[in-house]
Amino acid sequence: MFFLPGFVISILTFPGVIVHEAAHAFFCRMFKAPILEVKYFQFGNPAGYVIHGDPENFKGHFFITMGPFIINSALCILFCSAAFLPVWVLNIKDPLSWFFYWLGLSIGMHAFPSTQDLKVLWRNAPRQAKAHDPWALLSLPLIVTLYPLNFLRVIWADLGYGIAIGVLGPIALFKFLA
Amino acid sequence: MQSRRCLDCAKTVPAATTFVVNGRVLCTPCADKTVIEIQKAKGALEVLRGNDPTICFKCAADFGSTELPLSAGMHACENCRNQMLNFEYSAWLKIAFAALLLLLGVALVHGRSYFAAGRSYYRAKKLLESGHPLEAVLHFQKALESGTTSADVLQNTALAYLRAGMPEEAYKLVEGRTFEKTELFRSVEAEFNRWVQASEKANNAAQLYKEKKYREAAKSMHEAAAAYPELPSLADSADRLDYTVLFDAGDYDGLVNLSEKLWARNHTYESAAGLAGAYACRYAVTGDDEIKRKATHMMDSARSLAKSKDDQEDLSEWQPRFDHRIQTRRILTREQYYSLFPQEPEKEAKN
Repeated sequence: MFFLPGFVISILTFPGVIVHEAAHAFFCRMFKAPILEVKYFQFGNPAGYVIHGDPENFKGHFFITMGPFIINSALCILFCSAAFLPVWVLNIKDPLSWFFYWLGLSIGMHAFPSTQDLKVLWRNAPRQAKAHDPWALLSLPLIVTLYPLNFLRVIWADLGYGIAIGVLGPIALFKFLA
Repeated sequence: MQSRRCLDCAKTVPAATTFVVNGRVLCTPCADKTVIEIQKAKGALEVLRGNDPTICFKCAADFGSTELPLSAGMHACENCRNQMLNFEYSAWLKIAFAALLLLLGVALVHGRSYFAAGRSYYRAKKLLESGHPLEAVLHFQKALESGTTSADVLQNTALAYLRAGMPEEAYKLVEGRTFEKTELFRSVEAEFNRWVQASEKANNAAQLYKEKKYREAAKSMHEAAAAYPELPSLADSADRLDYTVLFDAGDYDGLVNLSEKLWARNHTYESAAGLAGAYACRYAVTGDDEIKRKATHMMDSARSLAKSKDDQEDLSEWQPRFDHRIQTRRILTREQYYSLFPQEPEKEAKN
Protein backbone atom coordinates (compact mmCIF):
# COMPACT_ATOMS: atom_id res chain seq x y z
CA MET A 1 0.00 0.00 0.00
CA PHE A 2 1.50 3.35 -0.90
CA PHE A 3 0.66 6.78 0.45
CA LEU A 4 -0.42 9.74 -1.65
CA PRO A 5 -1.44 13.02 -0.03
CA GLY A 6 -5.16 13.73 -0.30
CA PHE A 7 -4.68 16.89 -2.32
CA VAL A 8 -2.66 14.99 -4.94
CA ILE A 9 -5.47 12.45 -5.28
CA SER A 10 -7.99 15.29 -5.53
CA ILE A 11 -6.00 16.97 -8.30
CA LEU A 12 -5.58 13.70 -10.19
CA THR A 13 -9.28 12.97 -9.92
CA PHE A 14 -10.71 16.51 -9.92
CA PRO A 15 -13.62 15.74 -12.30
CA GLY A 16 -15.02 13.38 -9.66
CA VAL A 17 -14.88 16.09 -6.97
CA ILE A 18 -16.76 18.54 -9.18
CA VAL A 19 -19.40 15.96 -10.18
CA HIS A 20 -19.83 14.98 -6.51
CA GLU A 21 -20.43 18.56 -5.34
CA ALA A 22 -22.58 19.43 -8.36
CA ALA A 23 -24.75 16.39 -7.59
CA HIS A 24 -25.14 17.59 -3.99
CA ALA A 25 -26.15 21.04 -5.24
CA PHE A 26 -28.52 19.55 -7.79
CA PHE A 27 -30.40 17.50 -5.20
CA CYS A 28 -30.41 20.38 -2.69
CA ARG A 29 -32.15 22.47 -5.33
CA MET A 30 -34.49 19.66 -6.27
CA PHE A 31 -35.58 19.09 -2.66
CA LYS A 32 -35.65 22.77 -1.76
CA ALA A 33 -32.81 22.71 0.74
CA PRO A 34 -31.25 26.19 0.99
CA ILE A 35 -27.67 26.25 -0.25
CA LEU A 36 -25.45 28.46 1.86
CA GLU A 37 -22.15 27.94 0.12
CA VAL A 38 -20.67 25.78 -2.60
CA LYS A 39 -17.08 24.99 -3.45
CA TYR A 40 -16.88 22.68 -6.45
CA PHE A 41 -13.14 22.26 -6.23
CA GLN A 42 -10.26 23.73 -4.27
CA PHE A 43 -6.65 22.86 -3.58
CA GLY A 44 -7.20 21.93 0.03
CA ASN A 45 -9.05 19.76 2.43
CA PRO A 46 -11.88 19.24 1.77
CA ALA A 47 -11.41 19.41 -1.99
CA GLY A 48 -15.03 20.52 -2.35
CA TYR A 49 -18.13 21.06 -0.24
CA VAL A 50 -21.74 22.21 -0.22
CA ILE A 51 -23.07 23.87 2.93
CA HIS A 52 -26.81 23.53 2.94
CA GLY A 53 -29.84 23.60 5.17
CA ASP A 54 -32.35 20.86 5.78
CA PRO A 55 -34.70 19.77 3.00
CA GLU A 56 -38.44 19.49 3.58
CA ASN A 57 -38.54 15.71 4.09
CA PHE A 58 -36.41 12.61 4.59
CA LYS A 59 -36.50 11.76 0.91
CA GLY A 60 -34.65 15.04 0.37
CA HIS A 61 -32.07 14.07 3.00
CA PHE A 62 -31.65 10.71 1.30
CA PHE A 63 -31.05 12.13 -2.15
CA ILE A 64 -28.85 15.01 -1.02
CA THR A 65 -26.61 12.50 0.77
CA MET A 66 -26.82 9.61 -1.68
CA GLY A 67 -27.21 11.69 -4.85
CA PRO A 68 -23.49 11.92 -5.55
CA PHE A 69 -23.16 8.20 -4.84
CA ILE A 70 -25.82 7.44 -7.46
CA ILE A 71 -24.72 10.02 -10.06
CA ASN A 72 -20.98 9.37 -9.72
CA SER A 73 -21.47 5.60 -9.82
CA ALA A 74 -23.71 5.81 -12.91
CA LEU A 75 -21.28 8.10 -14.77
CA CYS A 76 -18.37 5.88 -13.76
CA ILE A 77 -20.11 2.80 -15.17
CA LEU A 78 -21.03 4.62 -18.40
CA PHE A 79 -17.57 6.06 -19.08
CA CYS A 80 -15.79 2.89 -18.02
CA SER A 81 -18.12 0.71 -20.09
CA ALA A 82 -17.28 2.79 -23.15
CA ALA A 83 -13.55 2.35 -22.52
CA PHE A 84 -13.50 -1.00 -20.75
CA LEU A 85 -13.15 -3.27 -23.78
CA PRO A 86 -10.11 -1.68 -25.45
CA VAL A 87 -8.41 -1.09 -22.09
CA TRP A 88 -9.09 -4.34 -20.23
CA VAL A 89 -10.27 -6.99 -22.68
CA LEU A 90 -8.97 -6.28 -26.17
CA ASN A 91 -5.67 -4.72 -25.06
CA ILE A 92 -5.75 -2.05 -27.77
CA LYS A 93 -3.43 0.93 -27.50
CA ASP A 94 -6.02 3.68 -27.75
CA PRO A 95 -5.20 6.87 -25.77
CA LEU A 96 -8.75 8.18 -26.08
CA SER A 97 -10.11 5.08 -24.40
CA TRP A 98 -7.58 5.44 -21.60
CA PHE A 99 -8.68 9.07 -21.17
CA PHE A 100 -12.31 7.99 -20.86
CA TYR A 101 -11.33 5.27 -18.43
CA TRP A 102 -9.45 7.78 -16.27
CA LEU A 103 -12.48 10.10 -16.38
CA GLY A 104 -14.80 7.26 -15.37
CA LEU A 105 -12.53 6.11 -12.55
CA SER A 106 -12.02 9.69 -11.31
CA ILE A 107 -15.75 10.14 -11.07
CA GLY A 108 -16.31 6.73 -9.51
CA MET A 109 -13.64 7.32 -6.88
CA HIS A 110 -15.61 10.25 -5.48
CA ALA A 111 -18.91 8.42 -5.27
CA PHE A 112 -18.82 7.82 -1.50
CA PRO A 113 -20.88 10.32 0.51
CA SER A 114 -18.85 12.11 3.18
CA THR A 115 -18.92 10.96 6.79
CA GLN A 116 -20.62 14.25 7.68
CA ASP A 117 -23.43 13.63 5.18
CA LEU A 118 -23.89 10.07 6.40
CA LYS A 119 -24.06 11.31 10.00
CA VAL A 120 -26.89 13.68 9.11
CA LEU A 121 -28.75 10.88 7.36
CA TRP A 122 -28.09 8.50 10.25
CA ARG A 123 -29.50 11.04 12.73
CA ASN A 124 -32.81 11.06 10.91
CA ALA A 125 -33.04 7.56 9.45
CA PRO A 126 -34.00 5.38 12.45
CA ARG A 127 -36.97 7.57 13.41
CA GLN A 128 -38.20 7.63 9.82
CA ALA A 129 -37.58 3.91 9.40
CA LYS A 130 -39.87 3.23 12.37
CA ALA A 131 -42.52 5.12 10.43
CA HIS A 132 -41.84 2.73 7.51
CA ASP A 133 -40.43 5.45 5.27
CA PRO A 134 -39.05 3.44 2.30
CA TRP A 135 -36.19 5.88 1.78
CA ALA A 136 -35.17 5.52 5.41
CA LEU A 137 -35.35 1.73 5.15
CA LEU A 138 -33.20 1.87 2.03
CA SER A 139 -30.75 4.27 3.59
CA LEU A 140 -29.96 2.09 6.63
CA PRO A 141 -28.01 -0.66 4.85
CA LEU A 142 -26.34 1.95 2.65
CA ILE A 143 -25.17 3.94 5.66
CA VAL A 144 -23.95 0.80 7.43
CA THR A 145 -21.95 -0.14 4.32
CA LEU A 146 -20.67 3.26 3.29
CA TYR A 147 -19.72 4.59 6.72
CA PRO A 148 -16.90 2.12 7.35
CA LEU A 149 -15.85 2.30 3.68
CA ASN A 150 -15.31 6.01 4.16
CA PHE A 151 -12.70 5.27 6.81
CA LEU A 152 -11.08 2.72 4.55
CA ARG A 153 -10.24 5.46 2.08
CA VAL A 154 -6.77 5.48 3.65
CA ILE A 155 -6.28 2.06 2.09
CA TRP A 156 -7.77 3.16 -1.23
CA ALA A 157 -11.31 1.85 -0.68
CA ASP A 158 -12.59 4.67 -2.90
CA LEU A 159 -10.26 3.67 -5.73
CA GLY A 160 -11.23 0.06 -5.12
CA TYR A 161 -14.88 0.97 -5.44
CA GLY A 162 -14.21 2.92 -8.66
CA ILE A 163 -12.32 -0.01 -10.17
CA ALA A 164 -14.94 -2.48 -8.96
CA ILE A 165 -17.80 -0.71 -10.68
CA GLY A 166 -15.63 0.34 -13.62
CA VAL A 167 -14.61 -3.26 -14.26
CA LEU A 168 -17.31 -5.48 -12.80
CA GLY A 169 -20.12 -3.27 -14.12
CA PRO A 170 -19.03 -3.53 -17.77
CA ILE A 171 -18.17 -7.24 -17.41
CA ALA A 172 -21.67 -7.94 -16.09
CA LEU A 173 -23.14 -5.80 -18.87
CA PHE A 174 -21.25 -7.52 -21.69
CA LYS A 175 -21.80 -11.01 -20.28
CA PHE A 176 -25.49 -10.22 -20.12
CA LEU A 177 -25.49 -8.97 -23.72
CA ALA A 178 -23.44 -11.95 -25.00
CA MET B 1 -28.87 45.53 14.98
CA GLN B 2 -29.03 43.90 18.41
CA SER B 3 -26.48 44.15 21.22
CA ARG B 4 -25.25 41.68 23.87
CA ARG B 5 -23.42 42.16 27.15
CA CYS B 6 -20.15 40.21 27.54
CA LEU B 7 -20.36 38.03 30.65
CA ASP B 8 -16.64 38.53 31.38
CA CYS B 9 -15.89 42.22 30.77
CA ALA B 10 -19.52 43.44 30.92
CA LYS B 11 -19.04 45.49 27.76
CA THR B 12 -22.05 45.87 25.42
CA VAL B 13 -21.09 44.82 21.89
CA PRO B 14 -22.95 44.06 18.60
CA ALA B 15 -24.59 40.61 18.91
CA ALA B 16 -23.07 39.46 15.58
CA THR B 17 -19.52 39.91 16.99
CA THR B 18 -20.10 37.74 20.05
CA PHE B 19 -19.29 34.07 20.65
CA VAL B 20 -20.96 31.52 22.88
CA VAL B 21 -18.12 29.65 24.60
CA ASN B 22 -19.36 26.65 26.57
CA GLY B 23 -22.74 28.36 26.90
CA ARG B 24 -21.39 31.82 27.97
CA VAL B 25 -21.89 34.89 25.73
CA LEU B 26 -18.54 36.67 25.34
CA CYS B 27 -17.15 39.48 23.22
CA THR B 28 -14.46 38.56 20.69
CA PRO B 29 -11.35 39.42 22.83
CA CYS B 30 -12.77 37.63 25.92
CA ALA B 31 -13.81 34.63 23.81
CA ASP B 32 -10.27 34.35 22.36
CA LYS B 33 -8.75 34.55 25.87
CA THR B 34 -11.17 31.96 27.28
CA VAL B 35 -10.68 29.54 24.44
CA ILE B 36 -6.87 29.66 24.91
CA GLU B 37 -7.24 29.05 28.66
CA ILE B 38 -9.61 26.10 28.14
CA GLN B 39 -7.33 24.62 25.48
CA LYS B 40 -4.31 24.92 27.85
CA ALA B 41 -6.31 23.19 30.56
CA LYS B 42 -7.41 20.62 27.99
CA GLY B 43 -11.02 21.12 29.02
CA ALA B 44 -14.21 20.48 27.01
CA LEU B 45 -14.79 23.25 24.51
CA GLU B 46 -17.83 24.25 22.48
CA VAL B 47 -17.73 27.52 20.56
CA LEU B 48 -20.66 28.96 18.63
CA ARG B 49 -20.78 32.24 16.75
CA GLY B 50 -23.31 34.61 18.28
CA ASN B 51 -25.94 35.63 15.81
CA ASP B 52 -28.01 38.74 15.35
CA PRO B 53 -31.51 37.95 14.05
CA THR B 54 -31.74 41.47 12.59
CA ILE B 55 -28.63 41.07 10.38
CA CYS B 56 -28.65 38.83 7.32
CA PHE B 57 -25.92 36.23 7.83
CA LYS B 58 -25.18 36.15 4.12
CA CYS B 59 -25.19 39.76 2.88
CA ALA B 60 -24.67 41.32 6.38
CA ALA B 61 -27.46 43.85 5.71
CA ASP B 62 -28.77 45.40 8.94
CA PHE B 63 -32.56 45.41 9.25
CA GLY B 64 -32.63 47.54 12.44
CA SER B 65 -35.04 46.07 14.94
CA THR B 66 -36.77 43.71 12.46
CA GLU B 67 -35.91 40.07 13.16
CA LEU B 68 -35.24 38.08 9.98
CA PRO B 69 -36.78 34.63 9.51
CA LEU B 70 -34.61 31.53 9.85
CA SER B 71 -33.41 29.76 6.78
CA ALA B 72 -31.26 26.66 7.25
CA GLY B 73 -30.91 27.75 10.90
CA MET B 74 -29.56 31.16 9.92
CA HIS B 75 -31.26 34.53 9.78
CA ALA B 76 -31.44 35.63 6.16
CA CYS B 77 -33.10 38.46 4.29
CA GLU B 78 -35.68 37.63 1.65
CA ASN B 79 -33.32 38.29 -1.21
CA CYS B 80 -30.64 35.96 0.15
CA ARG B 81 -33.25 33.38 1.13
CA ASN B 82 -34.50 33.30 -2.47
CA GLN B 83 -30.95 33.01 -3.72
CA MET B 84 -30.35 30.05 -1.42
CA LEU B 85 -33.53 28.27 -2.40
CA ASN B 86 -33.27 29.03 -6.12
CA PHE B 87 -29.59 28.34 -6.34
CA GLU B 88 -28.10 29.31 -9.70
CA TYR B 89 -25.37 27.15 -11.17
CA SER B 90 -22.37 29.10 -12.35
CA ALA B 91 -21.82 29.43 -16.10
CA TRP B 92 -18.59 27.40 -16.08
CA LEU B 93 -20.38 24.55 -14.32
CA LYS B 94 -23.10 24.50 -16.96
CA ILE B 95 -20.45 24.46 -19.67
CA ALA B 96 -18.55 21.70 -17.84
CA PHE B 97 -21.74 19.68 -17.55
CA ALA B 98 -22.44 20.09 -21.27
CA ALA B 99 -18.83 19.11 -22.00
CA LEU B 100 -19.18 16.02 -19.80
CA LEU B 101 -22.31 14.95 -21.66
CA LEU B 102 -20.56 15.58 -24.96
CA LEU B 103 -17.60 13.49 -23.81
CA LEU B 104 -19.96 10.73 -22.78
CA GLY B 105 -21.49 10.81 -26.25
CA VAL B 106 -18.05 10.74 -27.86
CA ALA B 107 -17.01 7.89 -25.56
CA LEU B 108 -20.05 5.82 -26.50
CA VAL B 109 -19.66 6.50 -30.24
CA HIS B 110 -15.91 5.90 -30.06
CA GLY B 111 -16.52 2.62 -28.23
CA ARG B 112 -19.07 1.36 -30.77
CA SER B 113 -16.65 -0.80 -32.74
CA TYR B 114 -15.19 -2.10 -29.48
CA PHE B 115 -18.69 -2.92 -28.24
CA ALA B 116 -19.26 -5.03 -31.34
CA ALA B 117 -15.89 -6.74 -30.91
CA GLY B 118 -16.42 -7.26 -27.20
CA ARG B 119 -19.90 -8.62 -27.69
CA SER B 120 -18.60 -11.05 -30.30
CA TYR B 121 -15.79 -12.06 -27.96
CA TYR B 122 -18.08 -12.77 -25.00
CA ARG B 123 -20.56 -14.58 -27.24
CA ALA B 124 -17.73 -16.65 -28.72
CA LYS B 125 -16.45 -17.54 -25.26
CA LYS B 126 -19.91 -18.62 -24.23
CA LEU B 127 -20.23 -20.80 -27.35
CA LEU B 128 -16.77 -22.29 -26.82
CA GLU B 129 -17.55 -23.09 -23.19
CA SER B 130 -20.85 -24.72 -24.18
CA GLY B 131 -19.05 -26.96 -26.70
CA HIS B 132 -19.79 -25.15 -29.99
CA PRO B 133 -16.29 -24.28 -31.22
CA LEU B 134 -17.24 -23.98 -34.89
CA GLU B 135 -19.85 -21.30 -34.21
CA ALA B 136 -17.47 -19.69 -31.70
CA VAL B 137 -14.79 -19.32 -34.40
CA LEU B 138 -17.03 -16.99 -36.43
CA HIS B 139 -17.53 -14.68 -33.45
CA PHE B 140 -13.86 -14.83 -32.44
CA GLN B 141 -12.94 -13.78 -35.98
CA LYS B 142 -15.17 -10.73 -35.63
CA ALA B 143 -13.49 -9.87 -32.32
CA LEU B 144 -10.06 -10.19 -33.97
CA GLU B 145 -11.05 -7.58 -36.54
CA SER B 146 -10.75 -4.93 -33.79
CA GLY B 147 -6.96 -5.37 -33.90
CA THR B 148 -6.81 -6.86 -30.43
CA THR B 149 -3.49 -8.06 -29.05
CA SER B 150 -5.02 -9.49 -25.90
CA ALA B 151 -3.45 -12.80 -24.88
CA ASP B 152 -6.82 -14.06 -23.64
CA VAL B 153 -8.60 -13.27 -26.90
CA LEU B 154 -5.82 -14.79 -29.05
CA GLN B 155 -5.55 -17.93 -26.95
CA ASN B 156 -9.30 -18.43 -26.73
CA THR B 157 -9.54 -18.02 -30.51
CA ALA B 158 -6.72 -20.52 -30.99
CA LEU B 159 -8.54 -22.91 -28.67
CA ALA B 160 -11.72 -22.53 -30.72
CA TYR B 161 -9.80 -23.12 -33.96
CA LEU B 162 -8.20 -26.25 -32.51
CA ARG B 163 -11.48 -27.63 -31.22
CA ALA B 164 -13.14 -26.80 -34.54
CA GLY B 165 -10.56 -28.82 -36.46
CA MET B 166 -8.64 -25.83 -37.85
CA PRO B 167 -5.18 -26.31 -36.34
CA GLU B 168 -3.34 -24.39 -39.06
CA GLU B 169 -5.36 -21.24 -38.34
CA ALA B 170 -4.70 -21.70 -34.61
CA TYR B 171 -0.98 -22.00 -35.25
CA LYS B 172 -0.90 -18.88 -37.45
CA LEU B 173 -2.60 -16.93 -34.67
CA VAL B 174 -0.15 -17.78 -31.91
CA GLU B 175 3.01 -18.19 -34.02
CA GLY B 176 5.88 -16.01 -32.77
CA ARG B 177 4.03 -14.86 -29.65
CA THR B 178 4.85 -15.59 -26.04
CA PHE B 179 2.16 -16.08 -23.44
CA GLU B 180 2.07 -16.36 -19.68
CA LYS B 181 1.71 -19.92 -18.48
CA THR B 182 -1.88 -19.60 -17.32
CA GLU B 183 -4.60 -22.23 -17.19
CA LEU B 184 -5.81 -21.02 -20.60
CA PHE B 185 -2.29 -21.39 -22.00
CA ARG B 186 -2.13 -24.97 -20.73
CA SER B 187 -5.50 -25.74 -22.35
CA VAL B 188 -4.27 -24.41 -25.70
CA GLU B 189 -1.00 -26.27 -25.30
CA ALA B 190 -2.86 -29.53 -24.56
CA GLU B 191 -4.95 -29.07 -27.72
CA PHE B 192 -1.86 -28.38 -29.81
CA ASN B 193 -0.20 -31.49 -28.35
CA ARG B 194 -3.23 -33.56 -29.30
CA TRP B 195 -2.98 -32.22 -32.84
CA VAL B 196 0.77 -32.89 -33.00
CA GLN B 197 0.26 -36.49 -31.83
CA ALA B 198 -2.47 -37.00 -34.44
CA SER B 199 -0.25 -35.49 -37.14
CA GLU B 200 2.62 -37.81 -36.19
CA LYS B 201 0.31 -40.81 -36.48
CA ALA B 202 -1.01 -39.55 -39.82
CA ASN B 203 2.54 -39.08 -41.12
CA ASN B 204 3.38 -42.58 -39.94
CA ALA B 205 0.31 -43.87 -41.80
CA ALA B 206 1.48 -42.11 -44.97
CA GLN B 207 4.90 -43.72 -44.65
CA LEU B 208 3.36 -47.18 -44.11
CA TYR B 209 1.14 -46.65 -47.15
CA LYS B 210 4.19 -45.91 -49.29
CA GLU B 211 5.66 -49.17 -48.04
CA LYS B 212 2.40 -50.88 -49.10
CA LYS B 213 1.65 -51.82 -45.48
CA TYR B 214 -1.98 -50.88 -45.96
CA ARG B 215 -3.40 -52.57 -42.88
CA GLU B 216 -0.86 -50.92 -40.54
CA ALA B 217 -1.32 -47.61 -42.34
CA ALA B 218 -5.09 -47.78 -41.86
CA LYS B 219 -4.63 -48.62 -38.16
CA SER B 220 -2.28 -45.68 -37.66
CA MET B 221 -4.62 -43.34 -39.52
CA HIS B 222 -7.58 -44.48 -37.43
CA GLU B 223 -5.54 -43.72 -34.31
CA ALA B 224 -4.81 -40.26 -35.72
CA ALA B 225 -8.52 -39.70 -36.43
CA ALA B 226 -9.44 -40.86 -32.93
CA ALA B 227 -6.83 -38.58 -31.36
CA TYR B 228 -8.11 -35.58 -33.29
CA PRO B 229 -11.68 -36.26 -34.38
CA GLU B 230 -12.24 -32.54 -35.06
CA LEU B 231 -10.23 -32.86 -38.28
CA PRO B 232 -12.54 -34.73 -40.71
CA SER B 233 -9.76 -35.17 -43.25
CA LEU B 234 -8.06 -37.67 -40.91
CA ALA B 235 -11.20 -39.79 -40.70
CA ASP B 236 -11.59 -39.52 -44.49
CA SER B 237 -8.02 -40.69 -44.98
CA ALA B 238 -8.64 -43.57 -42.59
CA ASP B 239 -11.72 -44.56 -44.61
CA ARG B 240 -9.73 -44.38 -47.84
CA LEU B 241 -7.07 -46.62 -46.31
CA ASP B 242 -9.75 -49.08 -45.18
CA TYR B 243 -10.93 -49.09 -48.80
CA THR B 244 -7.40 -49.86 -49.95
CA VAL B 245 -7.03 -52.64 -47.36
CA LEU B 246 -10.27 -54.30 -48.52
CA PHE B 247 -9.36 -53.90 -52.20
CA ASP B 248 -5.90 -55.28 -51.56
CA ALA B 249 -7.41 -58.29 -49.74
CA GLY B 250 -9.92 -58.87 -52.54
CA ASP B 251 -12.81 -58.45 -50.11
CA TYR B 252 -15.17 -56.82 -52.62
CA ASP B 253 -18.32 -57.39 -50.54
CA GLY B 254 -16.63 -55.59 -47.68
CA LEU B 255 -15.54 -52.91 -50.14
CA VAL B 256 -19.11 -52.38 -51.30
CA ASN B 257 -20.40 -52.26 -47.70
CA LEU B 258 -17.82 -49.68 -46.69
CA SER B 259 -18.35 -47.61 -49.86
CA GLU B 260 -22.11 -47.60 -49.39
CA LYS B 261 -21.64 -46.36 -45.80
CA LEU B 262 -19.30 -43.59 -46.96
CA TRP B 263 -21.70 -42.58 -49.72
CA ALA B 264 -24.65 -42.56 -47.30
CA ARG B 265 -22.64 -40.40 -44.88
CA ASN B 266 -21.41 -37.92 -47.44
CA HIS B 267 -22.53 -37.38 -51.03
CA THR B 268 -19.24 -36.23 -52.57
CA TYR B 269 -17.34 -36.93 -55.75
CA GLU B 270 -14.89 -39.00 -53.68
CA SER B 271 -17.55 -41.27 -52.13
CA ALA B 272 -19.47 -41.63 -55.42
CA ALA B 273 -16.35 -42.58 -57.39
CA GLY B 274 -15.30 -44.98 -54.62
CA LEU B 275 -18.67 -46.72 -54.63
CA ALA B 276 -18.63 -46.89 -58.41
CA GLY B 277 -15.23 -48.62 -58.19
CA ALA B 278 -16.49 -51.05 -55.54
CA TYR B 279 -19.56 -51.98 -57.63
CA ALA B 280 -17.31 -52.39 -60.66
CA CYS B 281 -15.19 -54.88 -58.67
CA ARG B 282 -18.26 -56.85 -57.61
CA TYR B 283 -19.54 -56.82 -61.19
CA ALA B 284 -16.17 -58.10 -62.36
CA VAL B 285 -16.51 -61.03 -59.95
CA THR B 286 -20.26 -61.80 -60.36
CA GLY B 287 -21.11 -60.55 -63.87
CA ASP B 288 -24.42 -59.36 -62.42
CA ASP B 289 -25.88 -56.72 -64.80
CA GLU B 290 -27.80 -55.10 -61.95
CA ILE B 291 -24.48 -54.44 -60.18
CA LYS B 292 -23.06 -53.12 -63.45
CA ARG B 293 -26.01 -50.73 -63.74
CA LYS B 294 -25.40 -49.56 -60.19
CA ALA B 295 -21.71 -49.01 -60.95
CA THR B 296 -22.35 -46.91 -64.06
CA HIS B 297 -25.09 -45.00 -62.26
CA MET B 298 -22.68 -44.12 -59.44
CA MET B 299 -20.05 -43.10 -61.98
CA ASP B 300 -22.61 -40.74 -63.53
CA SER B 301 -23.17 -39.31 -60.05
CA ALA B 302 -19.42 -38.93 -59.56
CA ARG B 303 -19.14 -37.03 -62.85
CA SER B 304 -21.89 -34.66 -61.85
CA LEU B 305 -20.29 -34.10 -58.40
CA ALA B 306 -16.79 -33.44 -59.73
CA LYS B 307 -16.80 -29.64 -59.53
CA SER B 308 -13.36 -28.73 -58.21
CA LYS B 309 -10.20 -28.78 -60.27
CA ASP B 310 -8.78 -31.62 -58.16
CA ASP B 311 -11.93 -33.69 -58.59
CA GLN B 312 -11.93 -33.07 -62.35
CA GLU B 313 -8.31 -34.19 -62.61
CA ASP B 314 -9.01 -37.26 -60.51
CA LEU B 315 -12.03 -38.09 -62.65
CA SER B 316 -10.06 -37.88 -65.88
CA GLU B 317 -7.55 -40.33 -64.41
CA TRP B 318 -10.14 -42.67 -62.91
CA GLN B 319 -12.74 -42.81 -65.72
CA PRO B 320 -10.64 -44.92 -68.22
CA ARG B 321 -9.68 -47.39 -65.48
CA PHE B 322 -13.31 -47.71 -64.40
CA ASP B 323 -14.40 -48.22 -68.01
CA HIS B 324 -11.70 -50.82 -68.46
CA ARG B 325 -12.89 -52.72 -65.37
CA ILE B 326 -16.52 -52.69 -66.56
CA GLN B 327 -15.66 -53.63 -70.15
CA THR B 328 -13.15 -56.37 -69.38
CA ARG B 329 -14.36 -57.52 -65.93
CA ARG B 330 -10.68 -57.52 -64.92
CA ILE B 331 -9.73 -55.99 -61.58
CA LEU B 332 -6.39 -54.26 -61.95
CA THR B 333 -4.56 -52.18 -59.40
CA ARG B 334 -3.49 -48.77 -60.54
CA GLU B 335 0.09 -49.96 -61.02
CA GLN B 336 -1.10 -52.98 -63.03
CA TYR B 337 -3.30 -50.77 -65.20
CA TYR B 338 -0.51 -48.29 -65.99
CA SER B 339 1.95 -51.05 -66.68
CA LEU B 340 -0.49 -52.19 -69.37
CA PHE B 341 -1.34 -48.66 -70.48
CA PRO B 342 1.61 -46.37 -69.68
CA GLN B 343 1.25 -42.57 -69.10
CA GLU B 344 0.66 -42.95 -65.35
CA PRO B 345 -0.03 -39.56 -63.80
CA GLU B 346 1.92 -38.58 -60.67
CA LYS B 347 -1.18 -38.09 -58.60
CA GLU B 348 -2.29 -40.93 -56.36
CA ALA B 349 -5.75 -42.22 -57.10
CA LYS B 350 -8.31 -44.81 -56.13
CA ASN B 351 -8.34 -48.51 -56.98
